[in-house]
Amino acid sequence: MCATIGVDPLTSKKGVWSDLLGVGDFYYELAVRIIEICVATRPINGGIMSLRELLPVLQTKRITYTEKISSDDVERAVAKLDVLGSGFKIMDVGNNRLVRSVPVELNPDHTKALTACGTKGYTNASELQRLTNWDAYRTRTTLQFLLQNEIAWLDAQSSEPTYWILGLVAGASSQT
Amino acid sequence: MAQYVFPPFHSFPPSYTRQPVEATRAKQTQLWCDLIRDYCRVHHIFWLDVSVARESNLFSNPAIDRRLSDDDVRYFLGQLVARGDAEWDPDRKRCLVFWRQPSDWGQLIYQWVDATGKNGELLTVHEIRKGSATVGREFHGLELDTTIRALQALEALGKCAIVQGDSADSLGVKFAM
Repeated sequence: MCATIGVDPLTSKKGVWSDLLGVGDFYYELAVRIIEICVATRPINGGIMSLRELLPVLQTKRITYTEKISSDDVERAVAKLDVLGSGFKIMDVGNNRLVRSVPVELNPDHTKALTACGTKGYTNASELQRLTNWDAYRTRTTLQFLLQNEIAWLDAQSSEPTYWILGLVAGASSQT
Repeated sequence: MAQYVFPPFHSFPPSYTRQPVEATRAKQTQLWCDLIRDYCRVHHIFWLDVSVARESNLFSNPAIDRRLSDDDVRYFLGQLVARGDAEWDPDRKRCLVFWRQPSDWGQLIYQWVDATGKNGELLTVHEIRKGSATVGREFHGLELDTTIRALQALEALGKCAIVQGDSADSLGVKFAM
């Protein structure tokens, strides 16, 4: 997995990372774990994962360190990753703090749609329109964007097509 | 029988809609295929009857009021067949699910033959599946069609020879030394 981003944390004690980022082993390992989890769950959540979902997985995945990880630690580790230009970023969307692990550019409309999903994890066109006063076209394009970028899953069996952001749904990330 | 615990995927409403975006659908297909295979393993299902399965809780979740349409059930089963974990009946009304590959079943049978020194003897398929000598073995009671595929896999490796009988169950098989 680390080969994807061009480093091998196991063999390079003083390697690219420590030189480039100046981070100690703690954030070093934390960052690697965050990448692992985000990449592993990407097929499900399209690279958008709420911190609330990430933290418990992170806690169980770590081996070397046993300290409790705070969301601040995650933010710090992710901020360091930014140097690598790998597209990792922390975003605040409504009440959710998200880790974005794909280099997809979310414009303010997309962010608003994610906000509409809130902590429940889904939204539909009429709800989004009510919250934003957008016209039908703008609403549709925004939701289509999330669908096309594999961030949203479609549920066609409810009264109105519903768009699910599985990165926000509790338990979704434990699938993979 | 052990109660099968469905994965979280089974309680997401969008799981029951065939995803319009290809990459997402690929992931969804993998999740459904794994689920069908695991479900059949736990419930010891060999032939999965489409009309029975459609009504079972495998393809529906009353708690969230979602079910896969007939079309989608066939689609995901088709994908399971495509990846080699199942085989359609000629009339496509049921599916032979390989939650253990026939070649692996073959290995289990061969190990038993080897361990009990039955190499070189002519055994009937019935003896292997239902005989008192195999009671307690994993392959005891194995579905006939799966057994035949397992033996064919062994035959392909040159470990046994299948001898035609009058009916499918009276097929004979002679194991190599």
